Amino acid sequence: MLEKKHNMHQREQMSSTDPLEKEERLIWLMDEYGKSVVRLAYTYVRHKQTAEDIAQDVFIKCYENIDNFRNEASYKTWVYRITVNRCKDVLKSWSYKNILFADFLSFKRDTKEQSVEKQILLNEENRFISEQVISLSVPLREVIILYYYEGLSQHEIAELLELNENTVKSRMHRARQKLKKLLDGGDGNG
Amino acid sequence: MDEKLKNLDEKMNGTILKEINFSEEQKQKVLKQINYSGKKRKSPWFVHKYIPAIISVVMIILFFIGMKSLMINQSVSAQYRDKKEIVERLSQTFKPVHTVVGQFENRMSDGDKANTITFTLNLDKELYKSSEKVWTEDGYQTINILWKDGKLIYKNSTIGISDEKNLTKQEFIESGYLGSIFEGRKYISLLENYNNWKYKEVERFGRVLYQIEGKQPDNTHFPKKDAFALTVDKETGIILYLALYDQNGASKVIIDTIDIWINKEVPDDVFQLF
Repeated sequence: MLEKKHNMHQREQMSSTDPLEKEERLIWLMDEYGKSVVRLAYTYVRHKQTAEDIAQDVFIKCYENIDNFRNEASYKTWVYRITVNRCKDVLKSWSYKNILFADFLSFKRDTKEQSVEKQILLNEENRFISEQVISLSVPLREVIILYYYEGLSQHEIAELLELNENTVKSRMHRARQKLKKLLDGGDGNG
Repeated sequence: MDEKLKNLDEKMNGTILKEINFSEEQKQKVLKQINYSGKKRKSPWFVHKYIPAIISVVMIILFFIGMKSLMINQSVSAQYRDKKEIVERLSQTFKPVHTVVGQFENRMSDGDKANTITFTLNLDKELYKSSEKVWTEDGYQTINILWKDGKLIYKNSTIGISDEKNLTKQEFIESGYLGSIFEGRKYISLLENYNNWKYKEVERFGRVLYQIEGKQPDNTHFPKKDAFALTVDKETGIILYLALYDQNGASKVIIDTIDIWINKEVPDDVFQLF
């Protein structure tokens, strides 16, 4: 783990003039952040195939822009910013709405029936909390995900989302209130 | 609240994100894509030297190609105007729909057992009621849905759960509760190559229908990848039948309408709680 962190640190210090080939750096980025990117994308679009497509787009974009990467931001922030921007573009697109529309029957079965039927096996409380988080509106959801799931600071979130830090704080507050209501209601119901 | 959100990464990774991963196959797709575009970008030195002249020649060629393409497109457009209208109809199912009463069977792409959906819809008055017999890996389940006064009530009486949520008309349409016969847009890709299918008009259920037969595009994502048969209501684009075939002729019937009445009067008192 320590070795991995050290390796990551080294890589994050790389400048665009490092001798590593672009493709090698891309492979490293995909190894390092692939899973995080696809999961972050999923928290936005809530659709597996779309999240995977977004992750591919993100890394192609990383490859195209890797020469412009400056060490002012970490690779993680850079990759996440590309991911968040891509997710927001997709959320606005007609094709995304169409995908959701087409897949709703299977979505309905997955989220409602299976979660109830297999609640014990699937660790009901964790799933319930996760589902409530992911059901928040995008502005509230993204700050919760970036703070509690990705472990970013409020300052980093503000930087990543290009928001004022006070806006992030306010959204965090509203998101917590909303979640409290949802989770307490859920707890109360069983 | 912080306590509940503590270790959210573990909670989400262990549940809803468990199956979400960036696989080796996806990495290879990215690499393939960048290699393809990389190769496209690499140009020999003489291209740079003679680039202004090359651009001029290319522009002239493009102008003539464009003109020719425009003429061909106009001709193709006229030739396939009828087919284009069918595709457009599939993409705009809800525009001419006011009321629909019917019963249909559908199959998920990964299962052989049919779901049976019996429903009544009054889109103008924002009312919907359905009774669904849905196949799951644990057997058939009975689901009842009522959408009335902007509220959707969902009840699965087999496993004893129910749920309620507010849905506007647009949200209801986009939610997919209406089912696969209204999901024409999902199947437009079958018709993307106008040369690969033919159609004729037939009558059934007292309606004029497009009966389409064709071969699926090469990049199809459907479970059986060869031919298809699709029947669409001419006026509304509602799908009444869809079967997919593999190369051996084995078929999978995805949608099969048992009965349907479109844009007929529907009494409001149908839309009552189960």
